[in-house]
Amino acid sequence: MNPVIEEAEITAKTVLTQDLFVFKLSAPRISASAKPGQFVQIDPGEKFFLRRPFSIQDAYGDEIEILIKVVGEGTASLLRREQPWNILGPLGCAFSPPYDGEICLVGGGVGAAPLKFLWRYLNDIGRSVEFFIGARSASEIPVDKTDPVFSHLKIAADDGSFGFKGTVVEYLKSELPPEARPYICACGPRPMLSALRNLMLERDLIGEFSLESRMACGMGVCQGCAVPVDGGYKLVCKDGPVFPFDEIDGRYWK
Amino acid sequence: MEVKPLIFDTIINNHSVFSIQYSVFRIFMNLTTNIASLKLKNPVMTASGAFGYGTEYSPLIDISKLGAIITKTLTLEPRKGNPPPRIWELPYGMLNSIGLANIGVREFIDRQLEKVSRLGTAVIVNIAGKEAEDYPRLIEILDPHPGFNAYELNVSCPNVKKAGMLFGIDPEAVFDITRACSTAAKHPIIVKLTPNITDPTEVAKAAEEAGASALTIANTVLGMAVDIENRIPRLPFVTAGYSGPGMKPINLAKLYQVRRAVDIPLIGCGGIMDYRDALEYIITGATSVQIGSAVFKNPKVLLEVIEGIEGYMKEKGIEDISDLTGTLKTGVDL
Ligand SMILES: Cc1cc2nc3c(=O)[nH]c(=O)nc-3n(C[C@H](O)[C@H](O)[C@H](O)COP(=O)(O)OP(=O)(O)OC[C@H]3O[C@@H](n4cnc5c(N)ncnc54)[C@H](O)[C@@H]3O)c2cc1C
Ligand SMILES: Cc1cc2nc3c(=O)[nH]c(=O)nc-3n(C[C@H](O)[C@H](O)[C@H](O)COP(=O)(O)O)c2cc1C
Ligand code: FES
Repeated sequence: MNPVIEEAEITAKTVLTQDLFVFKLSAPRISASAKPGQFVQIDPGEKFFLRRPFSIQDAYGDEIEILIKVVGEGTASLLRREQPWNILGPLGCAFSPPYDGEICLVGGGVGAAPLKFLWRYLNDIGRSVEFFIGARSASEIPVDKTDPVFSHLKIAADDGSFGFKGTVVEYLKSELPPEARPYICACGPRPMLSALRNLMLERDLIGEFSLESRMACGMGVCQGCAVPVDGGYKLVCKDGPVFPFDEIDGRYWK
Repeated sequence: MEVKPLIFDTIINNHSVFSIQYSVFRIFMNLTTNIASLKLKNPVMTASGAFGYGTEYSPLIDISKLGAIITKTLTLEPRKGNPPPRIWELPYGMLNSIGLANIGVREFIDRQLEKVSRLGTAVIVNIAGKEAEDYPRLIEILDPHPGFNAYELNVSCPNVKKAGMLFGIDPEAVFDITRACSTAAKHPIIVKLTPNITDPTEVAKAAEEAGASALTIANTVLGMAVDIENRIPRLPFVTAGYSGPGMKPINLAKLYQVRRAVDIPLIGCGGIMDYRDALEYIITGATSVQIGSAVFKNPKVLLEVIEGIEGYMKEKGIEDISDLTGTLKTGVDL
């Protein structure tokens, strides 16, 4: 991991919903070394004491792509912020699916972001991948409809307004033959990951989860982003954000 | 005063005509400062817990330019730290409840010390004990190893029951711990005080008498925050350590109080966001400063503060930083 700080110009902005945006940013040095699963820390503006972490949802040429959901004051301020944006990254560890076998990506809400990068990477090298995404409703699907990945998505909407009616984990379960053993790469809200974890334990599946935690440094320095593992804690920013799904212990899932 | 000739700088002005800058001589400011036998190239250090074990930020800044780095607190045994969540952001800083999570002194010696010693700056090892006896024991373990220049005793962490503030508010405990360390150690001892005490002068005097070479003023301020929707504390152990610009006035006042009580060098710490904050501590009486949580958002702040102090000295015609330390004009007869 060799993070840098770049002053990034916004090269494109797509409005997905009223609180969900895709930004393309010119950050050549981050783009050059970014791997699927890694994230960046962005300065949301002077009023804020800490940066905000966001997954890298794609990286190509001189650019990176970020999906931002406005949930509080920091993200709202970032959207109003003048260019360039001050970005620290790439940070953390990447997904590491096995060299062969089937792979299944499972994303909930903005958790789709790192998986989109992973999907493109795997697709480019000719791997067989299924990509499940869950959203509350059709209007909250976290992927741009003009993006090449869109036609490959298996989408579940809780309210049935698009695709499968129900949660993304229910959708996966309904599509998964009893003997199938895909490797799971997932990211999403804690209840979704918790339900997925139960399904994986039940079906004897293995895989990785990308987790979230409040962060200060993002560099493995402050010990602020700890998550419980058997016998202690690991750091989301440095040991993760991607962890073997069974490494994080029960205290986290309660 | 050191004066070095500079090569003529040529710049192209608006009309594309070459003009010559007439700064033939640049005056070099003296930013060096001493803590007993330890000479620092400038007065800016990293604060414990905000710079890891020393090497983590090397991809982002030139660490050799810093006055010193101070390691995360080390304890005899590795510590897992407190249950998450461990941090809560505030408008003017943050609360932390890390609980001194660290790799332990032996792993530091085996896996970090050599790397840290090659960074090109002074290295200060911060230590804490569960019991008072742990402090000299840590020194006994560290002392034979080359690669560092001073100790900082953390007797002021608000996030652990023992090893924590309890020592730091008791002049007798501070005296005993400092004495045991200063007689055992070959390097200078810095004692890091707590601001969570109305009058810090008794503790400061006890540390000085017991042989401390300098005092760091200070650690985090005890703070808390409440989630009013769920009526629960934002951090599981309820109270936590408050750092950042919101607490700077508190630590600055503590430094002012202590300045009048002791003669050893003081290191200002708490809420420094830029060179102006650092200068407030220096003018009040600090010979050097530490920068902690501001580094998380802006790792370059450390270098910016050094440049800013230098720029201020140039502007005011002050050649030596020692001519600035403690120059606060109060208008009150002290
Ligand atoms: C590794 C990682 C990757 C992420 N990727 C994305 C992404 O691709 N797109 C996206 O929209 N969001 C992502 N998030 C979540 C995003 O960081 C938070 O939504 C954001 O920090 C909220 O800031 P705020 O000031 O608007 O919210 P507030 O709730 O006002 O924030 C208060 C504090 O809590 C922290 N915080 C709040 N929510 C979260 C959260 N879910 N995770 C971590 N810290 C939080 C903030 O950083 C801030 O310090 C990611 C988080 C992590 C840890
Ligand atoms: C996340 C975090 C961890 C810290 N860990 C330690 C520590 O291990 N030992 C210590 O002496 N001080 C520790 N501190 C306190 C800092 O060294 C410093 O005294 C305090 O944060 C005030 O300075 P600041 O406002 O510049 O951050 C920690 C502070 C923070 C924010
Ligand atoms: S955010 Fe500082 S260690 Fe992870």
